Amino acid sequence: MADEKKPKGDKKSKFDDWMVRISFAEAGESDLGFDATGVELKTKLALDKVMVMKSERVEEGNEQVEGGAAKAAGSPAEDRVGQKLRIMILDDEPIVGKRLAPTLTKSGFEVEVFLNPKEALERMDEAEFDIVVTDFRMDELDGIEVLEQILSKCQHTRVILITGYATVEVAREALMKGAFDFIAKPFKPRDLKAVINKAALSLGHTGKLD
Amino acid sequence: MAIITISRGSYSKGKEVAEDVATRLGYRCISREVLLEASERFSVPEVRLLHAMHDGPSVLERFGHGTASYIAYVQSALLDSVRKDNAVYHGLAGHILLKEIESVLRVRIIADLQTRILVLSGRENVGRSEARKMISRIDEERRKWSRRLHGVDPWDPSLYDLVISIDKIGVQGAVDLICQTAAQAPFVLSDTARREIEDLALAVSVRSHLLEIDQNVTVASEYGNVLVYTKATDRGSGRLEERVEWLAGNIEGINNIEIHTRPGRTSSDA
Amino acid sequence: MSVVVISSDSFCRGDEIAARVAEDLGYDALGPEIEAAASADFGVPLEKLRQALGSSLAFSIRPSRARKRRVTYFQASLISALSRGDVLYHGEIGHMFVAGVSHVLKVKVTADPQDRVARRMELEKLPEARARDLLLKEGGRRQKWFIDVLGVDGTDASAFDLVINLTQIGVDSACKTIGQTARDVQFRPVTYSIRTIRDHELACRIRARLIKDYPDVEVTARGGEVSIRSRPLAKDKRKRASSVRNLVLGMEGVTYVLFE
Repeated sequence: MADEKKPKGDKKSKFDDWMVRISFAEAGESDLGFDATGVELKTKLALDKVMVMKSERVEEGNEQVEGGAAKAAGSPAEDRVGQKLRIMILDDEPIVGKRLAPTLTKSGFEVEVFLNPKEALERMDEAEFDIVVTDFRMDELDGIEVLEQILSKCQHTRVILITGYATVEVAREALMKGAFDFIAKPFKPRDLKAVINKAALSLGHTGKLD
Repeated sequence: MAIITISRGSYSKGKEVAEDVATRLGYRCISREVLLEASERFSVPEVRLLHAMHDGPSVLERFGHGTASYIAYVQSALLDSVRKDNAVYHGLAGHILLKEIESVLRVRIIADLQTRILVLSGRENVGRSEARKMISRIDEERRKWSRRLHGVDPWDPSLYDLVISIDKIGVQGAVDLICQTAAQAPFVLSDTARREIEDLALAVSVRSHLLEIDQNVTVASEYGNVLVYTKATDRGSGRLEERVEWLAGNIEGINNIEIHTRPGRTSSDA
Repeated sequence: MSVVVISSDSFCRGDEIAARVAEDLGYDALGPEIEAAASADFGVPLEKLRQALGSSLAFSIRPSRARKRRVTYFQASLISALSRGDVLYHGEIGHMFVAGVSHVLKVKVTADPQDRVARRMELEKLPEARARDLLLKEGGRRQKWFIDVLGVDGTDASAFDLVINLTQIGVDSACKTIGQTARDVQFRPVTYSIRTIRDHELACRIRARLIKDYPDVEVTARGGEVSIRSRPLAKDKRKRASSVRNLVLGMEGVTYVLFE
């Protein structure tokens, strides 16, 4: 065992940032804490590496870095050249797109909804999507195949898999294939918004979702 | 140079792992070829070799001379394969057939029963209940074989350097792990180890040719100097001497070959 | 940035490996502290707790409510520690209490029996036969504990993601292998796995709170919504269930309570 035995300490002091973020989502807080200075964004997780880079860069004077978030300017979900983030929602259950699309559009994203994976992939040949939220189990193609094809078309696209059949094995496989995140159904829209926010930030956008 | 054996439960994606490892490392991937090679070399039908390597003995049956010889033939063919080049072996009983070689990376791939049932059902187009029974039967045969012949349970993790749960780590994860481990010092074969493999391959090859004359013969080799040990009572017929003389002229690598007599006891394998 | 749980067979230098891997990863290294924490938090004498967990030389295989309770307390303390992330736990039984969390890497460290016997002979100045006999007996006892308490053999390789045999691989390579594997992308926390371990932590914490009064209690949690199953509670929904509901609703992270 390690020679130094750390005192148990206060639970809160050991609470990692990703846990806090989920707490915020559950508490329904409209402000998820991602303000322009990024002070509270410091975190140790690889998933949030960009956040550390962001806070460090902000301390250096708001320099732009790859994957870091730009200084907040203009309306939400806009990058420094004023373009909106493009999100694709792919799920063969129509209710999913119907629930998510209005919220995300209101938050300033450009949203397209697809029920059919083949059509979705064809659309990706025409336009680049920054974030794709896709169901895992669909009739024609499964989520892993969709993930692989999306990333073969555009490596920077953040693919978020959602599924009612979540298992350890599937989660790990999704990560190995390049998924950004993996969410089990049922979930609250605010849970997904928190993840989309992270994805947006990792692409260099401020992600203040209402 | 490195040698990797991948033992696997049936339908555990072990073949896929072995092939991917071999591709990634640029190694030869060996499995059924050793049976074919042994079959040709020793003029024994492949199905008999497979039976000897796979099936446990029935209640009325014991491991007879035939089985021991067949296993030796397969071992000889396998050693011949691996001594030449970097190799990944994923056929039957690699961890036993190659146990005398130090520095072999011994890996076992395990999978959840449900995963194996799914794989078998899909591959062989059988229902799940039938698939479960088949897997259970295969597992039982292999365990019986291993216990009876070598006194070991193939599921004992201490027989392997790595045991990887394929459901949890995934094929890609398993391949990464194996490749990383194979590159580490204990598994990179030294010149001494390579020479020892050559000697072992030669000893097993010689023994394979002598088993039909003397089931209890043991053979050792060092730098191509081969020593054949037999019981005093087995030397009477002269057949052993004849065969040894023939081998001296027909097996590559033999510098010298001698027969020594053990007083009366049966010996263990070389 | 995963959680690593290492279980080692005795005399396999497990403590050393755990410490080195934790340092390499920058994780907190935990082991007997969890038992100490459970003992302090739940008011159970440490030796009694260790007996229940099979960690003490004096441990008894006899099933009892007390053993079940103490195992539950240990589980609650363990999951609480693991749910904070960036932690490596080394212990004999911990791997069986954290199932279904994709960012937890579970590793067993073992060695060839002859090596373990030799090490024990050297460390404890024992003759070979005695060392071998002790190792066999202790291994058998631990296996029996798993089957008695949890209904499955926690010593089996299938309980782990990976089993490493030190005899050829060696301590250095084993540490390197575990560290590399822990850094692999598939062990990165995702929303699903974070939620799973949080739900697990909440359920274990509530169960530990209730088990003394309701020994048959089972708890599941999902995002703050808690389901509680217990025959006495099911029978008397008004009085007992009401006070339990209030108690549980007052616990951190609970938003809703349902009795099944």
